[in-house]
Amino acid sequence: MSANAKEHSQQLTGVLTHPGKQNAGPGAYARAKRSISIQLDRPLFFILPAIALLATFILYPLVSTVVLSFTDSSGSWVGADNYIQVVQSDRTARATLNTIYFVVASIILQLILGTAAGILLNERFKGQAIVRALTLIPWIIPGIVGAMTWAWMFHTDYGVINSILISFGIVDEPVRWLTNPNVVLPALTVVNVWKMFPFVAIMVLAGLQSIPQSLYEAARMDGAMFWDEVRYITLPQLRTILASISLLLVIAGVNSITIIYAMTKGGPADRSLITSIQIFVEAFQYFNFNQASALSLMFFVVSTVFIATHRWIQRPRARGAGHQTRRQNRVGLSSCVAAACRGVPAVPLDGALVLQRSCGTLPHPDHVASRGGNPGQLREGSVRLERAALLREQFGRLAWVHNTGPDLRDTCGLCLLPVRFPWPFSVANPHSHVASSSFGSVDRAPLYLPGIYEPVEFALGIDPCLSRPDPATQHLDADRLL
Amino acid sequence: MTRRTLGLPIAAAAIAIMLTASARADEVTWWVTEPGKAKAQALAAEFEKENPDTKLKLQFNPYGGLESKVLIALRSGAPPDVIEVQTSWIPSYQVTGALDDVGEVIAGSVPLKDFVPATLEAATVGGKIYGLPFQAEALAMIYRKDLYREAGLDPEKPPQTWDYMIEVSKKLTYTAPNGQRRYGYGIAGGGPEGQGNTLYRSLPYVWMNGGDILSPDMKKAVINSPEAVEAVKFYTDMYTTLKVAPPSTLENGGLELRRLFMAGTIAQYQGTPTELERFAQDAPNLDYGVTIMPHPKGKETSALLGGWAFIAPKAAKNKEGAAKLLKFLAKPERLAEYTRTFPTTTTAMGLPRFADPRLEAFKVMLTRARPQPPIGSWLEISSAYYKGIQEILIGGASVKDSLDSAAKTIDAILKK
Repeated sequence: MSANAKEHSQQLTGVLTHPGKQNAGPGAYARAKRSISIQLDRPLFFILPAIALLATFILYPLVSTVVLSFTDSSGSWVGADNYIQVVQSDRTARATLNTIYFVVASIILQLILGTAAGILLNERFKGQAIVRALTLIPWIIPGIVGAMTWAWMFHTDYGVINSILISFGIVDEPVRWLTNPNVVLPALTVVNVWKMFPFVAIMVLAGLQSIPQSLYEAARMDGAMFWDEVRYITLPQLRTILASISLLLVIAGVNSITIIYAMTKGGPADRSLITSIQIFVEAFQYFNFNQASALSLMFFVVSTVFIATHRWIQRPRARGAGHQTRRQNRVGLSSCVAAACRGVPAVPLDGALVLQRSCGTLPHPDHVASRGGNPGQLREGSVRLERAALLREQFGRLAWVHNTGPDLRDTCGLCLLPVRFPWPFSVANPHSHVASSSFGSVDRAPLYLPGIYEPVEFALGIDPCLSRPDPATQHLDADRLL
Repeated sequence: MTRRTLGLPIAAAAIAIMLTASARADEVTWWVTEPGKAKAQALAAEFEKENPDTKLKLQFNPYGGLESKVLIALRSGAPPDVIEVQTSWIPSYQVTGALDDVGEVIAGSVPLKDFVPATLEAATVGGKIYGLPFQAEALAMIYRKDLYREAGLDPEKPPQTWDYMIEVSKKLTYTAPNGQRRYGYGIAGGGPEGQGNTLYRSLPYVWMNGGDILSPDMKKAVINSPEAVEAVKFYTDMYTTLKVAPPSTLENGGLELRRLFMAGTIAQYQGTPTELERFAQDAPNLDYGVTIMPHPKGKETSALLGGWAFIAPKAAKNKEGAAKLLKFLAKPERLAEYTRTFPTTTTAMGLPRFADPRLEAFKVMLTRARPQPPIGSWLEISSAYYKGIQEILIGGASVKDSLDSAAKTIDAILKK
């Protein structure tokens, strides 16, 4: 104990008497101590465990792969030799083309099939739950099981597919599904699509459930058919989720070793070789870790560039689309509203959309009456309705899209918006339209423009005509409009 | 070193693995294959009785992926003490000097000259023996006697030459009255284990004809020599032009061929001695015969030696225990006990277990068998060869062009 202390003090003295460091020593120590104690409260300290884990499991392998790719098996530096050999190899070119084919074809089919399945599964029908569960089976069962089953089904001589085709007389000779160089990659793509489309379907289904029902109701009010709903509501609403899925599918596609490796191992004669299998074989069968590293780095760079591009395209598109929508809205709204203010439509119109601002309901006398209210008590709303009915003659056809609230008193404003409708709408009489029962049940449904379906409150919010939502002017505006 | 400083979790995981894999000083870890389980357990019990203070720890590995699994174990730095591997893998393992020379240990139990020479040769790299071979086999031709009779052929006179083999195969290719397509000869051209299966079934033709994949000094590819081209053409023609092999050829390996044979789709194919056990189990009434592989007239038959051996990794913990175990195993009767086909010693070959007359042809083939060349990159080289064969079978590529391109690839591998 005392011996230790003595030794310790000697060490300290040694440090203290050390020329040049006489003052720096304890000062630096104190500074370090202080800076550590400061760090203890900093975010860095708290994310340190996460950073350590990331460094261990992501950074270190990445760096060591880079190092491997520039060295030979004995660890000496060889520059770009590994890369040159990889690029010159015929296999690389073939594997690259196969990968592109496999991934692109898979994704297109998966998206189409998955979206269709998702939309169908979202419909209400008997046995819906069972069908939903069954659809998920390909995705749930392990890849290797699915692949082996398909390999058996595809077998030229005793596969069930050929057996069916031959017994129905569709083909005379058995089809060499997995060994005909022209057929093998499409066949594997089919298996991959089969494996992954339920994933797309379930994601789409989740996306569909988050689309507000009011959009469909509004569209149906305007006479939209099923396909109109799909085209103008469902798909635009699913756009972001489909973009994310396609990115996930790209990642899954380029990395999908299981199916192809289990079924053909990239054969026959590399006809179904994809890059991920090439890397795997090069590294873990031939043990050419250096070339495999070079190949995987190139693969990594290409994938990264691709994904970055995807994100880059997708983001401006989403923003651009938003811009466009808003710009269109603004142009449409401002010019149309301005035109409406003057009472003259600036563009040939299909009809007019009567928009009620944000907070209230558009009460119709019949509607109020059917709820046991007294139509005579209605204030401006009813007056406006009459004016709107007059305007209907002016604009030809008229559609109502409106907020209904539980409270009929909150009518704050009304705007007449002449628009072009993407589908023909058939409701000629806005009165009967508004009085329809489905409206009564919807509370505070947001307003959407047909075909674009941005909330109209939002669109109106940026409209110069109605930009400052001052209740007083709002009434004025609306009154002037009508 | 950097790994340890950078990745504490990795180190922890590695230690955990080492703790489970490594052993106390008196424990020997022995990796065997799944099919040898029962016999290995019996041998282990016997070993522990003989060496009461040594404990034997067994691990059973399936065949699939075993080659890389062992290689990874060898490179991990903490391999088991004794491992059962295919004899042909030894040269590639020894490239990095991962194995111990076990020649002396073996010689302590059994005179080396008792071994069938080719089996020891297969385990030898640079003059030193790196494995204790316990099993050896070579393929022979198995044929359906009933189908021979149906086609009007004498089942007791199977073909011995290439010409006659083709003639017989053509006769055996027809549509049976029940609508079943029948094919004369099943060649391997793919399947899950396609590369090895195709190599074992096609390379002997090349050898019979005087060709080879590599030159004797293993410095150059000679697979595009006229002899080799002629032999590969003979092999692939059975599918591409003569069509005596079934349409599924490109997905048929050993397992698939056996299935097709039992179903009567093919009448002849090359099989290992283990097939006989399978027949006895799955199709006891199968009427079949076994004969040597047909060869070109005036030339001798040939086979690629297959077999298994025990290796002792250099980095293993318990070398003394490993030597003890190998010495214990290297008794002819124990090697004969453990083998699933044939034993590797002449003494053991005389045991009654190997006296079945149907095994006769396999025994003849074994005397003709040659090991694979002891070169580290053999798997990659044979993969180039396999790809060449598949190119021909797919169609569109001439035999000569395919093999030229294979030779080019192999030369590039040899230069690495």
